[in-house]
Amino acid sequence: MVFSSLTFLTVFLPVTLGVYFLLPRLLRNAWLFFMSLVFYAWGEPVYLFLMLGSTVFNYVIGLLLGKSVTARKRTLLLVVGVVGNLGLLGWFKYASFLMQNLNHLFGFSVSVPTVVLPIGISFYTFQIMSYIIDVYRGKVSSQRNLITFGAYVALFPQLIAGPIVRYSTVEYELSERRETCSEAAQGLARFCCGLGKKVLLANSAGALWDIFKATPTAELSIAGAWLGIFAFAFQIYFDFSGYSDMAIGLGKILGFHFLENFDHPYESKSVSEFWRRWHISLGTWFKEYLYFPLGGSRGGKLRTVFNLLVVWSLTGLWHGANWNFVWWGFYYGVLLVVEKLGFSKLLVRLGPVVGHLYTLFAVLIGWAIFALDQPGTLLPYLGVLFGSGTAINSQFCYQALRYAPQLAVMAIGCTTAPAALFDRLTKKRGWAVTVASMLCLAVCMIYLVDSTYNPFLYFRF
Amino acid sequence: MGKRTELVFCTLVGALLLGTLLFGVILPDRQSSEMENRVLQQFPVLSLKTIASGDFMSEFECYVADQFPGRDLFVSLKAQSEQWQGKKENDGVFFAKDGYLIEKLPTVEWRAVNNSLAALEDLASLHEFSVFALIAPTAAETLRDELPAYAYDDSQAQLLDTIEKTLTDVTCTDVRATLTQNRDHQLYYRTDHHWTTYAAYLAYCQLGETLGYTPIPAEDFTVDPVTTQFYGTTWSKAPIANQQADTIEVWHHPLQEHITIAFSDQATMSGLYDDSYLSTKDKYSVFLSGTQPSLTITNPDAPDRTLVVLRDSYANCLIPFLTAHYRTVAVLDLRYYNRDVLSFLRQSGAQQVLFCYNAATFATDRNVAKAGLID
Repeated sequence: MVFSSLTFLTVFLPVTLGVYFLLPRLLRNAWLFFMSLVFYAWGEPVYLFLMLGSTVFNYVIGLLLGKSVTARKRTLLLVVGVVGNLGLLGWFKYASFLMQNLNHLFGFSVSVPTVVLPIGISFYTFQIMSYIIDVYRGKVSSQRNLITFGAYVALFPQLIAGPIVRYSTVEYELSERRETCSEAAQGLARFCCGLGKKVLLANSAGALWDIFKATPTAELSIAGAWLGIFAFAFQIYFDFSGYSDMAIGLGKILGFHFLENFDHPYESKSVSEFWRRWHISLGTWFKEYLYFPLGGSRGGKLRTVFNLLVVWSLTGLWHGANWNFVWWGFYYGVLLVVEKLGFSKLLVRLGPVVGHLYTLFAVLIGWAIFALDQPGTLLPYLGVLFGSGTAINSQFCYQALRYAPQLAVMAIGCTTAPAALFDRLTKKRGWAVTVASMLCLAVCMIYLVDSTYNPFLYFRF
Repeated sequence: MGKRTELVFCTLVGALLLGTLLFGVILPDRQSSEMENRVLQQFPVLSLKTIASGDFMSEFECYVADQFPGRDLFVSLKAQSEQWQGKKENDGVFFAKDGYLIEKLPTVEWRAVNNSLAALEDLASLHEFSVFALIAPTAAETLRDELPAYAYDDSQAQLLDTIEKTLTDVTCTDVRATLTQNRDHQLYYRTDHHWTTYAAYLAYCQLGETLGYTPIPAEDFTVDPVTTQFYGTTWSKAPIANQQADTIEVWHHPLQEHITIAFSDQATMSGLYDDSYLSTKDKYSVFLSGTQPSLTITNPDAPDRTLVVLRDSYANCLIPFLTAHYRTVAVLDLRYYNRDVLSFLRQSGAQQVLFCYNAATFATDRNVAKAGLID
């Protein structure tokens, strides 16, 4: 199930929240766990058991870690836990990719049965691993209540598409949270905002990108190619940050406080800053659980460069089982290395405008690498972006005119201005927020009625 | 937000979502939608098998959307919203000037087109009948000046040029110039993808040169506007409010007074027009009773000639004009006719065969090739 569907909005949500608030506090986690399983099974009926199995497995590992004292036993449990989780992720997501490459490299012709990727596996695997590792490190105590642990793993707001919520963030709230009307109102407003971003902006931007993506490179104009990449940049931002908004909003209604996942990343003045503001929970996860264990920046320049490139290539690989994602990650790894080695200091001296333009340019090229995952499509498209083609054609003019008002709205939507306005209004003119949210919700429902099927861009997770 | 505003807000959202759920449950399910011209999803079968396969869930989602209270209104609001945003098109239909809703051109499937043209040439090369072709341009080509800026796509023009060049044994009639010269008349419906009766009349006049008849002058017809509330196919895709409705004209002539039609299912009709369609949404089907696999029109007052027309719905408002010149007109829709076309042609005793399609259908049609299945 996805948030941006009529079934979720008019069936699942009223039923889940309605019963939730009628139930005594003791039963609320159980209901949440149950309905989250329904939510997951809705899209993935058979893989539900995979997720349940994974939950029980990690619950047991966590308990054993909590009880064991010997360092050797604890390390063994950690290894079992991590290998088990990564193994599952590896099999379902990467086995086919790995085998194809081995076949290619060594001339084997082993065929791997095509497995359907279980929804959300990248997100919940990483989420569960954060629990295991934090219990191992002694940062959190193991969760004894299977229902409560299950609720953490399966929590429907962030199960499918994040943010990746570390156990330490919600440890207290899992058993001691208090839902309030004020928080619920804020959560609802946030949810409506996210829904609007997804249904009204992301889907529209996606439609525009699809037009340019489908056009043979010979018929693309340079302006058109750039408009296409801008459209994709808008799509993925509003899609993903909209989904995070909805997750955070829903969490708030239930009494949880998830951490922010996006902080207006397109306003960044350097690539380093961009990755502190884009998909924050993923960057944090990789920093905490891979970069620091590898030594971070403490092993000298060469080692730091190595660490960065490895971590970022894997970050790229996390996004999908395809080489273009690895290159995308590696590309950012290189830029981050360059910035770390002194370029960022230069950027500061060159001023914010240069910083903005450089970052936007780097990010847009990055999106081209990310979006054009079909072999043989990236290089021609990059060619057009960098000048091989007519400057302008009627396709560009028509689409630019057609989407101009909406593109302007999207551009403003990437800045902090709307959020700042929203905060001011929430304090002074709450009714305006109410009206705007209701209007947004109603218009989204209208658009959803018009298009029955509405997949989320990151759905392969 | 103040405490009261927060409470009101939560209550309103709750009411909206819960209310929609309750309305959806209480209101009876619709079987089909006239506007969308399709059957609507009913409550899916609930069983362990359908749940395990995921079919129940996906059908349930369709069910919620299809049976959503006020669905047609919302689809209309969305189209209206797209127009207000200056989006220039909705669901493949342009918001063109002068209140025209014009269907976008499909991508030409050249393999299908080449097969169709080859089939026509094969048929003509038998020299058993004279084969004629009329591939009519659609509004997106003829009314190109009404389209939004930069929206014009010349693929149909290219298609029609290719057809002209490729067909040698088949006599091709290109009505583009005739239509363009008469653009001051309404040649296409504002809310539908078909051409108007007047445009069909112009084509009929031009066809006279090749099919060999003298076209009846326009003044000799009695023009009867059978409806002024026609909202057709393009409006279904972009159902904006305040859309000017279309008028469908039927042109009567004394030579058509004794016409009878025999359909493939043994039903018969006197006259060329099926008025029962005028009380439904699909009013264009008043011509020859709409979609029919095959029918035979007999006109005792016409000269003793036989014509076979293989066609799509564009021909339906053109054929009435032709009936004044042929005692028998046999009409086939190749989408639904799966028997041997050649034997049908031979049995009909026709001397002339006319392929009459619109260019948008022809660009993707795979059924015309059936006519070329010659042993």
